[in-house]
Amino acid sequence: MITLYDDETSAECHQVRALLGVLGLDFRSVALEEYDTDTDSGRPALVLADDRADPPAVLHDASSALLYLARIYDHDERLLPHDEPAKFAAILDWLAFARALTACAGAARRHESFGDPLDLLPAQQEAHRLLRVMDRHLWFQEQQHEDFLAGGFTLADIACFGDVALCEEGGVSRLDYPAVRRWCDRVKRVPGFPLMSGIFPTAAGLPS
Amino acid sequence: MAPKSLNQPCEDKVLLDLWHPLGAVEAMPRNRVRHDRLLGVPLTLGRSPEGRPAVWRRPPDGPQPTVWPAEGPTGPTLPVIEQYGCLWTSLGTPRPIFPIPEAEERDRRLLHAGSVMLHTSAPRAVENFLDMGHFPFVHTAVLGDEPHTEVKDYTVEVSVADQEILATDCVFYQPQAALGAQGGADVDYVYRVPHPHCSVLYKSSPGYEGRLDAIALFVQALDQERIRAHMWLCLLDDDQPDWALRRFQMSIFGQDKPILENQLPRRLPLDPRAETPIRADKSAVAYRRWLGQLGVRYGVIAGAA
Repeated sequence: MITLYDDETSAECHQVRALLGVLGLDFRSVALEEYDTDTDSGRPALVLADDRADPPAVLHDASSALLYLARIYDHDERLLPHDEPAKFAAILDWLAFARALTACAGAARRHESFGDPLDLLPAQQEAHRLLRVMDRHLWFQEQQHEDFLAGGFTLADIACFGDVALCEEGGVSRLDYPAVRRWCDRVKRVPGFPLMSGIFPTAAGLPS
Repeated sequence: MAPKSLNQPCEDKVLLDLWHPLGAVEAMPRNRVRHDRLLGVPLTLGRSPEGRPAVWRRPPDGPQPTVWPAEGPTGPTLPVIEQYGCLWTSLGTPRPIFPIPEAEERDRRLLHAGSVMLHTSAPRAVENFLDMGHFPFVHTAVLGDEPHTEVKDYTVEVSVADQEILATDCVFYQPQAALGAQGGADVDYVYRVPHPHCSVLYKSSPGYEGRLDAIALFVQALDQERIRAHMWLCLLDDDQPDWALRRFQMSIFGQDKPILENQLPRRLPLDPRAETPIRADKSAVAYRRWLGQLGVRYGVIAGAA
């Protein structure tokens, strides 16, 4: 069984829940504070424990959990194609981009919702800069009839979605990024993709 | 006079003379302080090394240390009480806090479910808490589901003696009324508004025929358009761990958050013609009228006198 020690309000944890959902993997979700940790090293954002592996595999970070789950359970390599170097490279870059989103858009949201300390304005400005980059990229993708960040739906979309979909809670509007808004709707329609509080379902949309 | 700017401190005596929540007592570590606001007034709050909580006013632009000052509070302290899992303070001369008799029942689980900040006014949050009409659309498959969207007629009284609003005989179909609920059921609800910024709801408890779970929303108005909502549970559930009960409540509140933050104007309009109520909004109509009668100006847009 896979156990995810997570926080239901966290966009980083949502990345891992989303991948588990898309892969159709059963897992047990437990509050992060139930995970016994060494208090000196600080509490990680999440813990994924997979005791289907022997010895059990344990991960303490959203990106590493995504890469682990994709490597072990994405049997047809749909989400992280190993034999297409350019696409593989692009996905890894989007994983880094997702971490940058967490550091600005995600941090702004945690500041505005939970009072986590932050210099808010620079974080919001950086979030807008990243959303502009994404919007431009997604618009060009659309011109080439590609719906997602790296061609088909991949780990790239899973990693970036949560902080983008929740950014308005951090005072960062998506009003100026129409291609990003269309992408959000397409991601929500991916079979098995779970939502979380603060993210509403979207209409079924036209068959593509 | 309504406050001229959003940042201006509250001048409503009726609000200043009440107890206001500042968050879970257990979340305040000893020997540390936190900087906070209440009704536009900057505050410092914390617990001494011995664990005694204290709250005092702070200059808005001064240094903001996070350790408990060696010489104790650096200004005159405000009154504090610990009640319903929260620390409460007052900027005026408070009367005793409103009672929640169920908190005294020995077989109940008392639990602070969480605190969340929202970009809205305290009265908008209370009004949302009173509303059953949004359940199927915002809390789909949990607190409501289409096609069961009807809010059946219910009773609302404003009791002058007890200074509170009471909505009774509320019934709503819920697919998963509580974490321990097995399948959908018609759920009985009672709502109390014993404080302009606090509400307590009572609902059927799965497995405890005839008794009600109590769930309270205590709103701390940081300023007119920013709040911290504190949720407190007083449940009969024996089976679920604390974290699961907290998570259920936080997930529901997280669904309300974007809805509330998109309600404009953020301050609650008290003029009956400002927004169009339907019959299901009977309790909201009574709440707005009551705020007007109390003379509340902070966090609202006053009606034509």
